Amino acid sequence: MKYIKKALALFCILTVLAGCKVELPSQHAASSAGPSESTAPVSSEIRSEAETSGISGSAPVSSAAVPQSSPKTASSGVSKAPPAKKTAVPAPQLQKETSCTLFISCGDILKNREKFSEDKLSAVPKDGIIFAEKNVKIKNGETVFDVLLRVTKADGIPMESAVSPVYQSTYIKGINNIYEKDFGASSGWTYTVNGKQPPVSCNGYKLKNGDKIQWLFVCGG
Amino acid sequence: MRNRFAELHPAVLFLYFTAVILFSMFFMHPVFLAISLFCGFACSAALHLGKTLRFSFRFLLPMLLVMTAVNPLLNHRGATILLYVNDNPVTREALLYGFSSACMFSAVLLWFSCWNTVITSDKLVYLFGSVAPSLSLLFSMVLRFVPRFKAQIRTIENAQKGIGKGADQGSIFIRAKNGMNILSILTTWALENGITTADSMRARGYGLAGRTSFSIYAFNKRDKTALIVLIVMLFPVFYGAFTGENNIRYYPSLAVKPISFVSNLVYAAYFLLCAFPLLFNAAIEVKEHDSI
Repeated sequence: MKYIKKALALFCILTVLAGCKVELPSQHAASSAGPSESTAPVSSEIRSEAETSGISGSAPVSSAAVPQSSPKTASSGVSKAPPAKKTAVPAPQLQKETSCTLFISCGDILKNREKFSEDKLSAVPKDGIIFAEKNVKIKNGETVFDVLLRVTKADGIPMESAVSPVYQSTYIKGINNIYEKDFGASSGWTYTVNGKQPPVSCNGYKLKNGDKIQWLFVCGG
Repeated sequence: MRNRFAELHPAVLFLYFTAVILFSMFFMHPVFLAISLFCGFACSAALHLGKTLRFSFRFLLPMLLVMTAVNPLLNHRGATILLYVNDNPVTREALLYGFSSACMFSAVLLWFSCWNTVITSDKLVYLFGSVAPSLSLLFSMVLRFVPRFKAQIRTIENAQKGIGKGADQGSIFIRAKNGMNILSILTTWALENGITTADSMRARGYGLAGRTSFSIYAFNKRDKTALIVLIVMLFPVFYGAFTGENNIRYYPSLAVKPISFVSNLVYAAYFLLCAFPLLFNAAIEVKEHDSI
């Protein structure tokens, strides 16, 4: 009887452990994960590039402003706009690269920032942009959630999601330590694709080439 | 060795333990936590060494580890990502928060074990018997509830075992039935005992004006000194609490007030407050040794 109990307990622990997927944060993420740098809207490398080219760090860095992609960011799965010489080659059918743009912002908080305490605002970037609009390569059949997860992991942006097993839907609780209900009772993360809010959860929306994803934190009423 | 601190007037003891337990519960600053945990352990060990050690290693230490491990798995807030489990980040801040809350919990439990030894139920009834008679009786009964029930259930179980109806005799169904039977006997005894106690207390005029207590405590010069010292040490701690010396933000990133001269003074005052029982005992020992 004793042995059966012990074996059962061990089995339960092992099943739980086997169900867990443990991953270390990527090297690039670790370098920019510090609390001082986590508020930076773009990764430090891109920001320094933008500064040298005369654009102030606080302005949203559009994909066109960055002249070429550095090997480090490219390896992390985030690719910026293709360089000018590549777009000049008129062979779009030959190498059909599917990509979409991703943009994460909590600008809605800044509209009424005096309502919130300094402690809460410490996670909010100065211009409200957590991830400046950038081109992201997508694989066939990837959903909005897959792209968000990949990019936040690669960039070291903390992101928490929860799955409700009944509906098989994923809910984004918080990005960059800005959580639902932190800024008002009905505040939280929403997403739009090409400016429209799809009526499905973010892991149910399959992306097409050229889709524009926007993750926006809304404060609600 | 006599514990001189425990011989103080109940009002002084009550004030002391209420203050220390409340401070331990609400101050999550690491320095305050460390002071409270250390002094709570030391005071508890001074009262009953063996019990404290057993309790600490059998219960508190495993609880500390489990709480530290579980918090980051449930709470994913924090800016420093250590690793990803099931696509959610495990953060250093959540780990630290789990550890600190476990420390806070341990400190409060240790202080409560001191409270239980020092403030016995007759002292509680003495303190509040005339102000709130039924409440203080209820309180002292509730505090005795668990140890008393434990003793009684052991008695019942032994008696049942004697007639072959123990909770570990027979097949699984019979064992379940015997266990239920023991619980039913315990409940009956508890209800009957409550009524008997209440009747007995009423018959002795409990709660009437002018009733004297079983224990009589005089508020002497030593109590007065202790009370003044306590109040003097409470002031800097309250000052620190109001100026935010005890504040700490865990999420999204750790933030504490920088350590300054004033904060060192507040830490010192808090340490003196928490170590008061030990210091008081030592002071009395020295004084009596000198007078002999």
